[in-house]
Amino acid sequence: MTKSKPVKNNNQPCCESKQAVAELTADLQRTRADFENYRKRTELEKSSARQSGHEAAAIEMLPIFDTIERAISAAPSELRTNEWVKGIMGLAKQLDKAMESINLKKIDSSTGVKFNPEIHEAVQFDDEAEGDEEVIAESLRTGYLSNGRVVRPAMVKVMRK
Amino acid sequence: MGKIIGIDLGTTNSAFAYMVAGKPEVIANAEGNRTTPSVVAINKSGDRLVGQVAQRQRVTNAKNTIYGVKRLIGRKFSDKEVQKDLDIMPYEIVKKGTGVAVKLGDKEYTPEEVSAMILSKIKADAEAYLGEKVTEAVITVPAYFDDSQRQATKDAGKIAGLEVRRIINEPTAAALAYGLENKKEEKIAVFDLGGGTFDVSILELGDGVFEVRSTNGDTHLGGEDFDNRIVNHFLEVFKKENGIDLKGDNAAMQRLKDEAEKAKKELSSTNEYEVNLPFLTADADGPKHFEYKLTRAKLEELVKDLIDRLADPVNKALKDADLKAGDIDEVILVGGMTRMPSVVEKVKSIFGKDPLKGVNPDEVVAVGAAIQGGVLQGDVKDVLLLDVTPLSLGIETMGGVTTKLIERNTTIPTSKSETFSTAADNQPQVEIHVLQGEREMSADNKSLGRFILDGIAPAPRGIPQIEVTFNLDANGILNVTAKDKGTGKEQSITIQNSGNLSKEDIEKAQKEAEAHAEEDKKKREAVEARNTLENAIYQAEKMPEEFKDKISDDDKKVITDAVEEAKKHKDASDKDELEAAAKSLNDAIMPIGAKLYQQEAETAKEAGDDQSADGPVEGEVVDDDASKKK
Repeated sequence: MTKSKPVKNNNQPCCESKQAVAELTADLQRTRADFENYRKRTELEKSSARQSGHEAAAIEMLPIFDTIERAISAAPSELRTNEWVKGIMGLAKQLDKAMESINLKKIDSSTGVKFNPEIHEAVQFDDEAEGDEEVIAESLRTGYLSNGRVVRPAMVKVMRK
Repeated sequence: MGKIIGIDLGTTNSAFAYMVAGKPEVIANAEGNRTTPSVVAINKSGDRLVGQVAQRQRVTNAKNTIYGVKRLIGRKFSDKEVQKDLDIMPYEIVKKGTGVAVKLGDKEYTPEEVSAMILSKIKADAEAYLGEKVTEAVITVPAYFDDSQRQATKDAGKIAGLEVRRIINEPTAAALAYGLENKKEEKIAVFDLGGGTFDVSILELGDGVFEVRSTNGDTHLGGEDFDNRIVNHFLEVFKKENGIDLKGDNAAMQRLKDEAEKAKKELSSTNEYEVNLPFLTADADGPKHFEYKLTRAKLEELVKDLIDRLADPVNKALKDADLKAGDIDEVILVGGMTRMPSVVEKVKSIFGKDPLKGVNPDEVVAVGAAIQGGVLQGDVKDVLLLDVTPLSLGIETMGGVTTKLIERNTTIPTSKSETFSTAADNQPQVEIHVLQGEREMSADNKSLGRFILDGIAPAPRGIPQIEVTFNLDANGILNVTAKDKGTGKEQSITIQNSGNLSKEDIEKAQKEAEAHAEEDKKKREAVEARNTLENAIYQAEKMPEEFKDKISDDDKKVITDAVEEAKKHKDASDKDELEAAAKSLNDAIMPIGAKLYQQEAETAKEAGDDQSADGPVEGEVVDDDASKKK
């Protein structure tokens, strides 16, 4: 080992390494913070994952609920007292109950209800009537909420009142 | 310093992403969706609506709902595109200076201000998601945007309270998302088929800088055209069958659109899609259903001319860049429509190579923008690129099986501890055999080293606690420590080159593991079954001695006979035989064990004491730890 001027020679690398340490410390802090935040968010997402799973399954089932609704509303009037048809109508009620038990609620989109784009999706607008308020003229497809969140907006025709 | 978010500010939809620990992640908006409609509206009460909500009320408020504002930003009123939009757009476009403004309610807003409303929602949603203030962003624009359009986009950011650190080209962002900036010199084609427009860009990469060589496209060709073809086909078929035109029936049209969307997706992987829409509509004769089989061939026929229209802009772009299709090194797909197999086929036939895959084409631009943000922020640095361990690391345990401590693809540095025990009574030492590889049996994996931890105090099997710790540092140096928790004695080994494997070696190891997976699993199951059997024999053999006063001589004989019988099967290699032997041994002993507990419970009851709760623990140990014993 040679003993040369230690001060001058070591000064440069020392500064460099100091700077490197500062940089790396900053990087480490940021990565740690990132990780902490990510972990917290993942925890939150985990708890909502069940909910999302529920919703995803519900979305797949909705077209079937739609069809049953349609089938019932299209039942010919002369058959409405038929026992078999009554049975099918009972089935629809059963389905409604089952949906409620998994927190799947129908959005109110009956005629006259005030139009609200948070939960209603307007696909048709009847602008003949006069008035300041926009209300639902006709429900075209039932919408659903799951624990207060829109799973599918109700599809409606809107008019003025 | 807060996060720099990357924003893909689109004509119809926008998306945004950020970097977390060096990796891009797309942010969901307040409604939980990964894309946000680029729509702004003001309703009667003067409330400003942005995104999905604005979209849903569009038909009721067409004059005050602004969409496609990206077509107007940074343009002069006299521009041809603006003049064309004057007729098409249901909202009012007015002249402001030499530029344009749109009317929302009774006020005029510049396109920058409208874009700023979209950016404000993105900013707020990102802040809610990240739980911190967001003040900086990278925003993408089409490659053909001129200085004025870029400046206007930057201004929009400023109005929304975002410092726009950089405006980058959409195709460049897509290339960044695929990590192409690390390549040396490449020619890249970016093929972007969105909802309503088609853009193709030719990029040239040199020294980590992307240069746009040419762009071309078709402003009126996109996913909507494809969907419309399918829906129109459904309408025709239905009309032919039932004589009813469904065009005016919004509910039915929506169901047909949803079905067209599903059919398009499904026909990517199957050859036939069955449309089944009961009670689609009704007339005087009663309800009408729609049942129809759409084949992939028919779908391709329906959209053939649209597909063919993709070639021309590509050829023009290549010609402008003075290149031939064969000169292109990489092809990147952007936009949801590029998922359709016939689109991919077309791309392949034009360029003669497979496009890059892996990043969601709806999100690839936002992801690239986030990566650019990360670079600006200093998140993406060579020194901090994290590596993963290419193969699993573990130790050999009873019966010659490998127990993995660190699974392959774990990001390093990392460490992991697990507690093991002895396999025999009074075992004085354990051997720690460190292994690398994916196979179940130790003999099939690579031995990295071994050492012995001795001086374990005499104890029955399963009692000593040997803690084994694997510590893998960022350079792939592995340190393995074994510590006897009872005596505090420890031993360790350092393995220098655990990560030093060629790509071929890693692939070979993985392939072998896959090829032998079934056979290895059988071997491992047999070992586990044998361990269980040996444990059962061990426990049973102890019984007559341990409870000599409480077990009758007849029962003692039953136990010895059952143990003798079980021992005959100890060396079998068939899992079922081993399991059956363990079962019959347990069946023979169980009634005797039950009797013992009953006696104990009665004694306890007499003594008014409740000690029997400790009883079953011993039995539990047998199964759980069998495979982990050293």
